[in-house]
Amino acid sequence: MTAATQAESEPAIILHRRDYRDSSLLLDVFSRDHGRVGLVAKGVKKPRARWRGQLEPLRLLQLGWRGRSDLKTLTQADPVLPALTLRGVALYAGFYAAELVLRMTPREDPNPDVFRALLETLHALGSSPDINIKLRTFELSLLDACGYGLPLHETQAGNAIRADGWYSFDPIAGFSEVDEPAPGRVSGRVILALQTAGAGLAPVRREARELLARALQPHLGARPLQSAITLRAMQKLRRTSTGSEEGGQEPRDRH
Amino acid sequence: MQFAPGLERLIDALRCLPGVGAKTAQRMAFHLLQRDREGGQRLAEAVAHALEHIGRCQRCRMFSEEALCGICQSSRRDGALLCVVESPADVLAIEQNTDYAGHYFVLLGRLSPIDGVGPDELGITDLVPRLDAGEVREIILATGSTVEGEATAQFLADLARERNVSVSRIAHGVPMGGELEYVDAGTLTQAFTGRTRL
Repeated sequence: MTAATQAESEPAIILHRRDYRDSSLLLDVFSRDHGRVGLVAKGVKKPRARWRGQLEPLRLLQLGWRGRSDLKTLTQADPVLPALTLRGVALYAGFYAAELVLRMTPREDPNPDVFRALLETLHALGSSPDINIKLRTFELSLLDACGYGLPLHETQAGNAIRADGWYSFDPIAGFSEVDEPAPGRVSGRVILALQTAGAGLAPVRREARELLARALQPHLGARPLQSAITLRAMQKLRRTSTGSEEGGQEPRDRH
Repeated sequence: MQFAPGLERLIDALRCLPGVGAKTAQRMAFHLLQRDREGGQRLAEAVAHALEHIGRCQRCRMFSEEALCGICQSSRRDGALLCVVESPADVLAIEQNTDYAGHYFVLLGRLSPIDGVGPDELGITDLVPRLDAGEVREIILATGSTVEGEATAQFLADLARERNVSVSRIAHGVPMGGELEYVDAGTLTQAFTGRTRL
């Protein structure tokens, strides 16, 4: 049993919510100082409920709660203004980021770095046209924050990464230099681009996405990411590309 | 104390209804047995009949006893006008309170990528060929004013626009008879961004 905890005015982002009984919600939130917390928001779906309309996914709020079980009772919810409003592809990308956090972090394990990375990403998604690069940057920071950071600066043998080199990749051990390209091997160019992240990722976005997918895989468990599957199904119905490769049609293991 | 097994079963069965806990279920069961056996009979028959005969309309996914529901069959309604809602209760609300005279499409949910609820689950995959075929002139998006409701509306709007179907979204804002002072921040912001020219 978890010890009794209590929080007040704690900045937190709602990762996921689902209906609970007639008028309540179950929330999974990521808070700055307490990590991921499960909350029950009682009676919030009643017509005159206090927090009606505020407990929306991907929103930053100041929350209060108390309780001793795994599921705490929400006692406070104040909006942080201006509210984050993601639309369209940026919103879908936000759902993907939230699912990654849900799957990578245990409950009640404080990790302010994850909170910061997620918050920065949600802000960036709202303002940036290049959603792919924001997501890759987020995946890198999330891996780092969870203690699985990629050893991007040297090979297993301790040599520096060269732009014209080719490397085999193991999600746990890292990179080792090989003689020639082959399926599953990574160009040094991609690894160097990941070191600096940001706009430098644009020319190698597909390779970076595949590499990060492989890096994340061991930490996500056997079940595939639901948001990635859903976004692919959505993309299939579109006539034009949306620029979100999370929902793209190309197979993940293209080489 | 122990009830008769049949009574236990009835109480337990009534608890499947929303808002009905142990105590209410017990009161309902006693009422039927003590005061209104005839009503109980009618209820039992109606439930059995409904479960056996009521399915989904093939076009709009609304509850229907036939392949097509009354609205989809009606010749007096405009089939080129399509209102998309989340649940059958929304259809009822619009029918009872507005003079809308087009067709409906009931999603039976809303986009929720993390829960794996996407276009297949919401019937959107089946709706797209109808848009492709040019059956629909205008889509009215009446999904809820939540993040998921907005995501659903936006996705449908993108699909419709690509197919040259005109799209509108129901308005969100200050309620009728409402005073601004009592309107919450989110609604007020929405009311300002969605203001209309007079």
